[in-house]
Amino acid sequence: MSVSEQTAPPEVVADRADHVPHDAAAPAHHTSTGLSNEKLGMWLFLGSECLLFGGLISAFLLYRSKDVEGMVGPAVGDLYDIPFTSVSSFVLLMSSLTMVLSLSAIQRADHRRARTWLLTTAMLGATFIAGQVYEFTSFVREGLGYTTNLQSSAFYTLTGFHGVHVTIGILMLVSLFVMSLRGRLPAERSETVEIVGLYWHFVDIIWIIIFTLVYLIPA
Amino acid sequence: MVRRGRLTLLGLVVALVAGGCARDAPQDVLEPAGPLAETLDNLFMPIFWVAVAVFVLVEGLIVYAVVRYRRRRDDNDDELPVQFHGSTKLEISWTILPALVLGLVAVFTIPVVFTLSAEPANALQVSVTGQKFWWGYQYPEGQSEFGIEEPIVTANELHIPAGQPVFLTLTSPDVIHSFWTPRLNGKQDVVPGRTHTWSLEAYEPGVYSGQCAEFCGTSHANMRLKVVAHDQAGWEDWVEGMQRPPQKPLSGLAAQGFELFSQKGCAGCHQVQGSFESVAADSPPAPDLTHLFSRDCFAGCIYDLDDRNELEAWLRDPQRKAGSLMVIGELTEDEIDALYSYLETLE
Amino acid sequence: MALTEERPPLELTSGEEAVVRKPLGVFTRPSDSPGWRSWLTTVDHKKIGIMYGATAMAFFALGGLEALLIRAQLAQPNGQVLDPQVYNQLFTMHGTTMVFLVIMPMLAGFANYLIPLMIGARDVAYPRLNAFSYWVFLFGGLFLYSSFFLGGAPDSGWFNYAPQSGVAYSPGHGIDFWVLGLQITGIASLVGAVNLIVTCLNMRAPGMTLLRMPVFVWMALVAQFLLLFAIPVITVALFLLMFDRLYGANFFVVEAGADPLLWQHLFWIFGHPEVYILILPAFGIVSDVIPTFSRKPLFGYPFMVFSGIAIGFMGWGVWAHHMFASGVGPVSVAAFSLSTMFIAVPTGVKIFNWIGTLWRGKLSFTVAMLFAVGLVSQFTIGGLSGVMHSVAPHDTQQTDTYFVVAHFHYVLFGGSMFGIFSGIYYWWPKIFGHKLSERIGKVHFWLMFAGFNLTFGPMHIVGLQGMPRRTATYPEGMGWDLMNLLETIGSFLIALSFLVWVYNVVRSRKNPHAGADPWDGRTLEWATSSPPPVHNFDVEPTVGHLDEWWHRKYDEDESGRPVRREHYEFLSAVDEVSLGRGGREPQVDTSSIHLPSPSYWPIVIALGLPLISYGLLYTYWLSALGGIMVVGGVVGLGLEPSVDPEAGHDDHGHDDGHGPGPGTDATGEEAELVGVGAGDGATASGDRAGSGERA
Repeated sequence: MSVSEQTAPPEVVADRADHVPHDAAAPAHHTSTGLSNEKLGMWLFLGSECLLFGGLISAFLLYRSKDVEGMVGPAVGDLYDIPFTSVSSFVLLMSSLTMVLSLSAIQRADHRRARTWLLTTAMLGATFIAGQVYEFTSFVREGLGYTTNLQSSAFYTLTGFHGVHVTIGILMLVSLFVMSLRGRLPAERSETVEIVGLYWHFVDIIWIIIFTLVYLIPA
Repeated sequence: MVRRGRLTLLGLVVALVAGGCARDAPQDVLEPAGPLAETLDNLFMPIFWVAVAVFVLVEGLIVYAVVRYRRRRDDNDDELPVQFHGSTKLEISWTILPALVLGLVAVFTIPVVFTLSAEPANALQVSVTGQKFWWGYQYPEGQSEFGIEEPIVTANELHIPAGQPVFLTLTSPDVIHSFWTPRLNGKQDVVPGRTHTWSLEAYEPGVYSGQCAEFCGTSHANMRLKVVAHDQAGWEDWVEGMQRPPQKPLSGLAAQGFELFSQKGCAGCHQVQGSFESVAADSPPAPDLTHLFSRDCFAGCIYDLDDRNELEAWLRDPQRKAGSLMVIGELTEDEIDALYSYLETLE
Repeated sequence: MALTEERPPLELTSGEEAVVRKPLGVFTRPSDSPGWRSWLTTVDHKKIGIMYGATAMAFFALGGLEALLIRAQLAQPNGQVLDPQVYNQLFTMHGTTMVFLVIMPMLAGFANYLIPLMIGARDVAYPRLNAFSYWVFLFGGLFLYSSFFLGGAPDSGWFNYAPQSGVAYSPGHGIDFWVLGLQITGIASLVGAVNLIVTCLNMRAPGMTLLRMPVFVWMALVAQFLLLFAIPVITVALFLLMFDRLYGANFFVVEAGADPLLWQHLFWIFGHPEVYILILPAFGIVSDVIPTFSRKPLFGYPFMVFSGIAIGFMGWGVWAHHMFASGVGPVSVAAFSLSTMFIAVPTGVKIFNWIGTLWRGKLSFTVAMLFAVGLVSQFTIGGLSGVMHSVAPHDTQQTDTYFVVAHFHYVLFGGSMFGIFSGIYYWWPKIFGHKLSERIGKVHFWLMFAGFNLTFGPMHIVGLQGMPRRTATYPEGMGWDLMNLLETIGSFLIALSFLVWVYNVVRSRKNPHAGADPWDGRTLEWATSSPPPVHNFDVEPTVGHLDEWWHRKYDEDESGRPVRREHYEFLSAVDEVSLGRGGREPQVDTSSIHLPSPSYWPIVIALGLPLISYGLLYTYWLSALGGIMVVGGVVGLGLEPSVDPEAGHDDHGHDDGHGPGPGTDATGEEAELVGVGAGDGATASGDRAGSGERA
């Protein structure tokens, strides 16, 4: 068994007492990891979201592969309009690009361009949502309502959850746009845009996974 | 002195477990009465004694440390113990040693998982339905080696030949139940929408108590069952009796009861072979009554069929078993007598 | 705008004031700002921690009352005390309460109060979200309990298996309350987890490296990571069930082809990590208590930390051992049987290390120490019966019987609750300034210890004698009568011991002030005054060691024996009791320390959530009202600066300009997390009023 190493020189303690105490809110205060609290928090939150979507995707895949005898209504897979969804997926993918452009603009203090790109990102997101609304209504017209069968419940729940996430993202982008208009988004605060961007890219990546697993890979 | 109580407790626990085995506990898992339950028991006893050994070791160390190193009244509080921080050697040994012991347990456990899931050869086949709040059994036809030519349908009591393997196919039409006869085998959940299989075997003739072990609603506690194991002669008698449909009563109180059975809607859920067969045979909503009086118990095996008062009370108010799904209008005492007389003929 | 104008000015505690601080009860404020109202708006992690603890203990009394009724019913065969439907509600609510409303929030309370103090921080990372978490937990719990008055509590067990939990078999609103109530408390846990993880990772004092953090902080951190990843899984399960019940979805409708095992998998993928969420922080508590009262450092600190992390990882690979009888197939059973066996290894390492800490120590058996050693000895029993469950073939005999009930009560009561009581007795003087009575506390411990073993010990036996769980009654002649009677007597002993504890708490208000460091503690929370000032430390510590405070008090001679230093310095101004034997206090000006101001928004947002939930069950107008409260509250929170610019500081302008870069302040804006763009700095006072009007 080892005996403990020697303690710190006591002058460290004495030394500190002579100083003005550290101001918890002083600019010089760095976080232990170097990441800001906000950014670290967002990363953790997104980690948690991974399991939320993981659970929903698993439930969908489980129920899609299930052969239900005498299933009511059409199978989801028979209704997909792959070209249409590909286009709306492309739109969402492009919005990640404009998100990056807006961050880079705001870091250069090019506020006019930053606002343009923020608004573009939000518009692209809204286009995606509009596409989803169109898709849902066309599915319902084909006789696939939320309660029709196992697959439809799982499909609408999964894609609906994603749609809600995109919508929340759009709201955040619009808030950023308004803040920027009112001059509250100086280049020093570009991290705010970066954090919203993290969320936006995450939602985007989730869609890529959903599009691949749910739409492209057949049951 | 503080921890001596704990050692006493250990002794008490061991004594109670031993005492518990000896006492009359019809669902005691430590009293296996068939080869499957015995396999499980053989797995359990070694791990139980390993656990007891670890328990004695750990608690012994704690007791020793507590007695030996406790602060005494006359101690100088400024004299402090040497500040040990740990020992890698010890850490490694108390990581590896338990892992080895557990590895040994695993070596014995894992093969059993696979052998128990296999279907036994030449087994009696029975389809079991668990539902709120009773167990139904169907013996498929054509099992001539067991004397079963016609299908047999019964409820609550599962009759089997002793010394022969029984293979159950379990389904549920409503919620999850769990089939469990502790002295014959462990439990198997019955998940609706799935088909499960499970084996039973009893060494000796006898009655083995069991019950539903997965929470299934209000009357979960009252979803009991019995497994009756027969010797060869008893089994043949039972099979023969079950394959002979009862006579329709032609006169007297029993005939009145026969009429009431359909008037009061009993026949809407209960089947009686040869008389009332309108109910879907695959999943009857209530127990088959064809040979009701060949059984000892009814209503999820919680009431004694030998006691006339129990059945009469049941007919007066099926809700005496809370959550019972049986609905029957108000009956006069005369009607109850008539129904009883009819049911009594269903031997 | 009334809401913001009523807020008390930012409280500042100068060193001189702290010296004359007197012992405090639960519901008084440590300064002259307005009384109970300050608790509604506080963002101080210490007050929030106290509120978590007080609320959890109230729920403990409720859950205990339910347990007593259950035991009264089961005292004799064919018990007639309770209707089976009521019985089912009670055992459901007992389990749900003890897991979600007692042990989790109790440990959240400890984590809240202690983590910043132990890592040398002034507050948690997001103080307002911290308040939000608490209020959400409280309202979620009250929402769940309101079901008793609105048509009956949930009655399908805390595991709530489908399809029994579906509308077809549980048509009342009980299960809806369960689903929505747990969604709400889930939000509290998730936000709390993000908050505490960021606090542990980002807010450590200089020199407080990860491997210098006290074990409690470590174990709480691991538990928060488990929560972070487990909560979304049960959230999915709850959403699916909610959509089934409220909107006619088919996830658990067998007739539509659904598989009820989906629920079991989702529930236990959450449920097993949850077990470690409930026990790891308790392990952390005793890992700090045992060294203090053994007057020795923790044996094998790095192994304690890494075994905790190992448990955290392995905890994700054992969930299907709850389903050995569900028919998941022999391959799954074999795999989960193996993983379950080997998770016992890191747990065993912990037990041996605690014994190693006791070894050659100088053990003083305070009540905290009694409960800590109680945990080590009783948890061992629960751990060993757990290993027995891992023998999957025989688990089909044990599962769903009282043997399992005995097992998890030895883990959760003999483990978690003993740990919690150990922590309560240990940190009480830090939190309230005075100790609980040791004499009464010993009565409490021994009564509880005896009652606990009398209640749950015999359950091992009746379990092996074939008594299933969740049964409202049992017939005569099963051989279970005597054991059940003993269990009931034991449960009333536990209740008596709880009353002794309550008496101890009430009486303790008269106890003398205990000083800053009554136990000769080892970690930083003992280096500040009792109770600590609002800003925790007058001087921010620079940490050079594990057990930093101990090392500031003691040097070591050549043989490794500690020698008390002639002088050492507290980190805050302390009372005179603490200043004997070489203690000094820092002479510093604390007037420039900024802390976040109280806020109404957390409670407003939190109140919106149960309103939304009631609305989903009764009328959507309530949901709309709740929705407005949530959205308005989020906007208000986003626009409100975390430090009130009107609170009377000259130098608050620092918020302008430097922004939330890597150099952001410790208490910065957290608005991003709740879905609105970043909150703005000190210039936002005008807008705040505006947003208040909108809300």
